[in-house]
Order: sequence, then C-alpha cells, then structure tokens
Amino acid sequence: MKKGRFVGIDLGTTNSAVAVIEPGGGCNLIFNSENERLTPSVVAFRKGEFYIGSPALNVFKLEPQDTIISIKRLMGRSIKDPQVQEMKRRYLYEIVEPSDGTKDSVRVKLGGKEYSPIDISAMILGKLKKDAERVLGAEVTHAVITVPAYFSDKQREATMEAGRRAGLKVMKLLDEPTAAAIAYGIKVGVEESKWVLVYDLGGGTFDVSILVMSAGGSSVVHLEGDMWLGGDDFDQVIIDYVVERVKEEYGIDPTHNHRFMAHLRVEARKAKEILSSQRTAEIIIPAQLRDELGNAIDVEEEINREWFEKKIEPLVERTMRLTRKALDTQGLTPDDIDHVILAGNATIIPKVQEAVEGLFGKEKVKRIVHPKEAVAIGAAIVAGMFEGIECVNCGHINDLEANRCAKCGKDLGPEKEEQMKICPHCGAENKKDAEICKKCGKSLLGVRGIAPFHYGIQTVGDKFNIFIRKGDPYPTPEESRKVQTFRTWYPNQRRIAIPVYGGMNEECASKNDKQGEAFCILPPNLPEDTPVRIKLWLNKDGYFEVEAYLEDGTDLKPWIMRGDKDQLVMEKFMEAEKQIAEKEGMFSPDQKSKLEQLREKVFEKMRKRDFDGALKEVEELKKSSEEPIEIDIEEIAKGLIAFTLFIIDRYGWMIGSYSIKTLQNAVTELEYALNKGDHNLIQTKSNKLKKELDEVLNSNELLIFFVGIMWVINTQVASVSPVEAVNLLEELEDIEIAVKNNQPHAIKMIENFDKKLKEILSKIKIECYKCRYLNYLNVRYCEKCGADLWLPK
Amino acid sequence: MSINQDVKNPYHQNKILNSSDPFSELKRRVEGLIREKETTKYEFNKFRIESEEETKKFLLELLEVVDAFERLFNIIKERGEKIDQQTKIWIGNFRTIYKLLLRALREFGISQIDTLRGDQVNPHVHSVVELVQKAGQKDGTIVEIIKKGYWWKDKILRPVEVKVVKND
Repeated sequence: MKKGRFVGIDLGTTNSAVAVIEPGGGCNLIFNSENERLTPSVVAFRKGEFYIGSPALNVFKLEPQDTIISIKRLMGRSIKDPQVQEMKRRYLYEIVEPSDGTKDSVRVKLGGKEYSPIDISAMILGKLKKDAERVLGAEVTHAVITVPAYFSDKQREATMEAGRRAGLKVMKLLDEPTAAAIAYGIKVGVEESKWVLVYDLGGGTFDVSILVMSAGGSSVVHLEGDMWLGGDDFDQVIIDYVVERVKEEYGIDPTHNHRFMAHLRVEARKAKEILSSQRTAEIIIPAQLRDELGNAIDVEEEINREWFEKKIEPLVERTMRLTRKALDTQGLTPDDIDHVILAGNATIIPKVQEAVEGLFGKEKVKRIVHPKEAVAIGAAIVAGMFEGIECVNCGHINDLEANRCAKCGKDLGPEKEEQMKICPHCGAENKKDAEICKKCGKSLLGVRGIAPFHYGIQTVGDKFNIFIRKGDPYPTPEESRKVQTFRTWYPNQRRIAIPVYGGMNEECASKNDKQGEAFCILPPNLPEDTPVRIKLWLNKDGYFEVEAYLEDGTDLKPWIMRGDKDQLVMEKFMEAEKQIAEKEGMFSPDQKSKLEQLREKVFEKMRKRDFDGALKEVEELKKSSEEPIEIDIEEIAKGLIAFTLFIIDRYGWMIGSYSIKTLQNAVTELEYALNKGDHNLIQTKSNKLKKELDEVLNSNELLIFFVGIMWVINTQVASVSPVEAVNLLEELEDIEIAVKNNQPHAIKMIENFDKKLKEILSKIKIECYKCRYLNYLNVRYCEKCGADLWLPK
Repeated sequence: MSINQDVKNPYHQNKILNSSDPFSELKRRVEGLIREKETTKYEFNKFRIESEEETKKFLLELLEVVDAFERLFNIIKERGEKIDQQTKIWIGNFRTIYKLLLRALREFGISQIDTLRGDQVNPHVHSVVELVQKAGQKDGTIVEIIKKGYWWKDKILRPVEVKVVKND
C-alpha cells in the first residue's frame, strides 16, 4: 500500500504550523507557499475567491467583513455562548445562528454565504496540507492536531471533523501543553508519573497549565490564565518610552502618525529580542517623522536591559502570581513540580526566565526548542510514533487505515455505505433495521438466529473480507451463501490458510476475534494470481463452514481446524519447514529432492484427512532435514585459499597492504600444512586464515557488501538462471569500478542493482507483502514481521 | 580464475550462513548506504533552510536601509527649491551609495514587485495598510505605494504595502 506522510499540526487561534519528522531523524517546521513557517489562521473571501493565510491578512483592512480571524474561538460553540457574544462585538465579520435550523451551533458569513467554523478550519487545514505536500513531494494522509487543554468534547469533535473534511485522517487530538512537553523530550518511565507546569506567554495571552504525565499518557489538571497579558504588553513598554522621548525631544506627538507607529511596533519587538541576548538595543526609525519645517527627523533611542527589566517587573510579577495561584489551587508547592516548560515567544526574555527559575529552581526549567515551534513539533513527534487513530468519541485506538471506529462506529474517514440485511427468503438487500423484506414482504425476524457480528476471512494485508453481516439470519440459506474469489499471490503457492474472524471492524481482520481457521492444499505449479473461490456460511448452530474451489471446479476440500490431531500436524509441519528454511542452501541436490518428495507425501495425507499418516511423514521430513552435511577438511582448506586469493586479487584496493600481507602469510602457512597432509595442522591453519579473513571482511562495510551480493548471485540466482547470474556479476564489477574511482553515480548504480536483484530473487523467494522481507518458500509466518504468508489475496 | 567456482566454496557459504540470513545482512548494508545518503541529504537540506532563513532576515534588514534612503529622497524632492548647490552635490553622492546598495541586492536575486497606481489589489503580493475614500474609483484600486515590495528569486520577500480605495 502506498503510504503517505504523517504530520503534526498546531492549529492555532492566530497562527498555525505544520511539522514533520524527517526520515533521517530530526523535526522541522514546513514552509508554506508564502515562504513562511507560520501560517496566519485567517480566511478571506474577495471577488469570488478564497484567500487563506497571509494573502487573507493582506486584504483584511479592505474586506474586514469578509475576513475570518480567530475561528478557533468559535469551534464547537453555540450562538448563545457568552464568548460568542464577545466575539460578535470584537470582530467585524458576521456570526449568525445556522439558517438551516441546526441547534447549538454558529455560522460565519463570507461573501453572503454561511460557513460553519468547521468549514473554515478545514480550509486552513487544507492549505496546510497542500503546502506541506508541495514541500514533501508526497501525499499527507495522517495528522496529529493540537487543541487547547480546556477544549470541550464538542470542540474536540469539531476539530476532528475539520481534519476529516480537509482530507486528513486525524490520528489523535493532542493537548497543546502536552505537545509542548513532548517537544521538550520529557519522558516518564513505567509506574511513574511526573508533574509538569507549562508557562506559556504568547503574543496576547498567558496560560499556566499543570499536567500529570505518566507512561499511559498525560492529562491537564489545572489551568490558569490571563486573556489580556502577553508579549505585546512587553513591547508596549518600549513603545511608550520612545513616544515619550519623541514628545520631549521634538515636541511632536507621533501617536497619530500611523506609519511611524507601525514602524515603531516592529522596532520594539526587535529590541525586545535583542535585549534577551545583549545589554543594549538601538531603535532607529529614519525619516518617518517630520518637524514643523517639513524636515525629516531620524529617531534614535538606546534601551538598556536594566531599564527594560525594571519596567516589565510588574508584568512578570502578574504572571508569577497566576503561576502561584495555579499551584495553590492544586495544593501543590513548587517542589512538587518535576519539570517546567517555557512556551510562547515572550519567554525569551531573560527576566521572565529568571523569575520562573527563581520559583522552581534552575535545573527544572526547560527551554531548548524554539517556543513558537514547540507545539507543532510535539504533534509531529506523536504523529511519527503513534500507530493508530484514536477515536475522539470513545478513545479506542483504531488501525491506521480505519475509516470507522471499531468500538463505537464513529466515522474516522470518508463515509462508507450503509450495512445491508439479506433476506433469507429471496436474497434481497434490505436496510439493516428492516423487519420485513421490501421485496418479498416476508419477515426478516423469526429466523433461527441472527449473526451477532460480521463474519469474514483474513487475506493479505490483514483485510477483512466479509461474507456474513451482522444481523444476517442463520442457518445461511443456500441461495444467499456468498462466494468470493481470492487469488494466490505467488507462483506455486501450495497452501492456503483461511483464518475466519468475527467482529465489527470492517477494515482490519485482526482487530476482530478469530473464530477458527481452515486450510487447503493446492495442486503444484499453479501460476501467481490463480483464482480460488471461497464460500463461507453459518450452519444451523451458528458455526461457520467453508468450501473452496478452483475455477475449473476442482474441490480443494478445505478442512477446518478443530484443535485435535490436525492442529498438531500443522504445528509440527510448520516447525519442520522453518528448520528446513534455516538450512536453505546447505542441502545437496539429492537431499533437496528427497525433502520435496516428503513434502508432497505430507500434502497427500493431509488432503485425505489422514492426520496420523501425515504426522508420520512430517516427522520423517523433519528427520531428513537434520541429517548432517558432510564436510571434508582438505576441501574446505583449498576452497578457503582460493577464496582468499580471489579477495586479494579483486578487492586488494580496499584492503590495504598490511592486511594483504597478513592474509598472504596465512595462506602460505595453510598451503604448507596441506602439502604435509597433517590434518591437525590444516585445521589450526584453516582456523587462523578464517580468523584473519573474518577480520578483513568485517572491518570493511563495502567489502562485505560486495562479497555478500556475489554470494547471493552465485548460489541463489545461478540456481534458477545462470545467464542472469553472469549478467549480474558483470554489472557488479562495473559498480566496483565506479566505487573504486569514487564516481558519484555509484550509489545510484547500487540502488538500481539492488532493485534488479530483488526482482530476480522475488521469483525464487517470497517477498512479504507487508515488510518486503524475502522469506524462504515454505515458511508460514514472515520471519521479520510475522505476517501470514499462506493467506490468499 | 573463475569467480563462480571460487566464491561457491563451502567455507564462504558457511560463513555467511552462520551470520543468520545472508540476504537480510545484504539488505541491511544497502539500506545503510541509502540511509546514510538520506541523512546527508536531510542535513544538507536543514542547513540550506537555516542559511536561507538567515539570509532572508539579513535581506529584510537591508531593505529597511533602502526604505530609509527612499523616504529621504522623497522629502528632498518635495523641498528641492530650498537646496543649495553644495548640498545637491552631497545628495548626488548619497544617491550613488543608494545605487550601490540596490546593485548588491540585485546580485542576490532581489527584484521589485511591479505595482502601479490604479492597479487592483492582489492579495498575494499586496498588503493593504491604509484606506481612502475616493468617489468614482472602484474599491481595491491602489492609490499609493507606501512601501515597495520585493521578490527574492521566485518567492515573495516582502509584500508591497499599499493604500487602496474603499468607499462605504
């Protein structure tokens, strides 16, 4: 399956940001199409077009009624909420009650049309998604979105819905303070919990949150805040000072000069940032003001840190009062807090840091990540680790591809068709809650039993192929027994496992309960994609029955495991196959064909349901695979010498002259021992050469890489296609030359080669459909990821 | 020497077999090589982004110097009649310095966003900072360019700050 990228989104009131974990590690904010890291959470409508982000902000002055800002404050709100009334007073756009009669909701008006807060948020998320895709060059499918800790269930649900509408699968809604804590790398062990205080001094608001973090997650226990205190107030201190100075020095009041004041606001913010690392900051505003003669006035003021810190003391004290209040309300002392996190841009001010450190102690206060980015980065980290979709409704963790919550049925992705109820009399499809068949009019009740959940079989990719739906009657009437066609997914697939599951998760079989398993043996040498028709139904007792046929009607006679002798045979058989697979490549051709014959016998007995007989054959198979492999010590020694000389000859350029010398000496000693015919000496010297060779091979990544590939070609590829093997060996030599000469295209060549090699090997081995690992033909479960390789697709 | 013969020797087979599945080892190597390349790519990319951010900040600061020059020249232009010969020469010298600055910016790929009075506002490049009522003109018509905007190669470095018509 094509996998998209997972991102973390900080959907803020003023600004939003997207972050992503890079494949090479590390986490970055993604630039939007305006080349900014932060996208203003603003949507404007002008002349039939929507503008989102900075372009929307650019026309805010011109279209204040058609520019939606701070939509987050309206999420999940009802028109009667006092906050909404406050918003109506503050903002120029229209906030109305839905005209379609939806209760407990609000709509905003853009270009005369009503939009829900979810629609607007979805537009913002849509832009973030699109811009991220442009930068990442891949589809963004999943996201973790952050929400304020105080968001109600309704507000959370609205945020989730906005994500869905923007075409995202929302894996999780993460509390903003928790996201910040994660970005700062706060980890908790099992059976441990930590108190974390987040001090968030943003541009216009101040929030203190206290959270408890434990291995199972984290929860916010207390919130304190001031809606009207933030970094802008700190800037204002500087602005007021400069205005006073201008009045004194030039006798003019600059507050009516909008251009000067706008310039001053920018300069004040810069000065604040400079003062966090330097003792003084200069404010220079050239030629924005004029004296009474019309001459340009250049305003130049110097601000020093001592003065600034004294001025902002009351503001800092206000935040500290709220911080102490938050602790008091929870009955906590500063000592109880394990970590303090500074978030928000204004926390770059040293005075603020000192005050917080003064209360909690320096070592507890963390400030590494850029405070503006912390929330998005925390979300991206969670998106990178979290392997599921958390249902906003019931908290159930669903599979990543789920479209509906397996527990409560909540939609997590695009809408799916409604479930149907099949009439047992005529087979017509009825709505799931129908009591009488719409076609034949017969009752849909009163049948012997009703399936308690969906029954289906698991196929490649953990898909759930439903044969019987919840509410279907049983015994399943002959005429409504479903047949579905599956396919073998590799050539000569001899075994098909048919695991039967029951449950309500329509996407993912293993999320349901396993009801049992059936097996069938296929005739040899069928091509890949051979159709297998499987029929599954419920008998009068509500148990499942299975039939399987090839297209030509051959009955595959699947048998259902009843946990008796058949189970034992199967287990022993899988054990033997695994053992054989481990020794693959070490058997002589005679041994190989013997094993093949034994395997056929096992299949034969299984097909005839002779499990006692099959067990005997399986044991025989196991025994044969354990037969020792003959080793001739002199032959090994000769091979070893030849191999060493070959390595020196071909890869001498990578090895270094000292190692070559060591190897040559060891070879000479072994040759001497061989000439003498002294077996003990041969053994010792062989071991010595082996050791030296090992050292050389292991000390050089590239060398072992080439040797490994060569071995694979010579044994595995050569056994199926000698021509292909020769071609590959030639190509390998070209790569070696490219590497030797340090040519930059070598890596490309290696990649291409790897692809080609895998392609060839996939014909003789089975590539796991899940993790792409190449498995030996007969093992049932993928050695790397455990996927069932006997399933049909 | 025949390669096939040599590498097929039993010692070698055993050695590689003993290190569990040889192909997984091989795959690991190849993946390692590719990952190494990706990491380098990522680090380079990160470095590129960071240095681009720094450059952007620097260019924006330089543009403020350009703005200051332009504001000054505008004032001089308004009051041209009161300037004596000596001052005119000095102003000419300052203009040369200003041109030097513009040339340096051009070298960095900076170009002005073309905007004319009378154009309709385009939210992607124009930022409306002031409004004015003007009968007979359409809403959104640009009447004054308050601060010039600039491209940096194909991206926006700074939007044009404009004054536009808005009639109630």
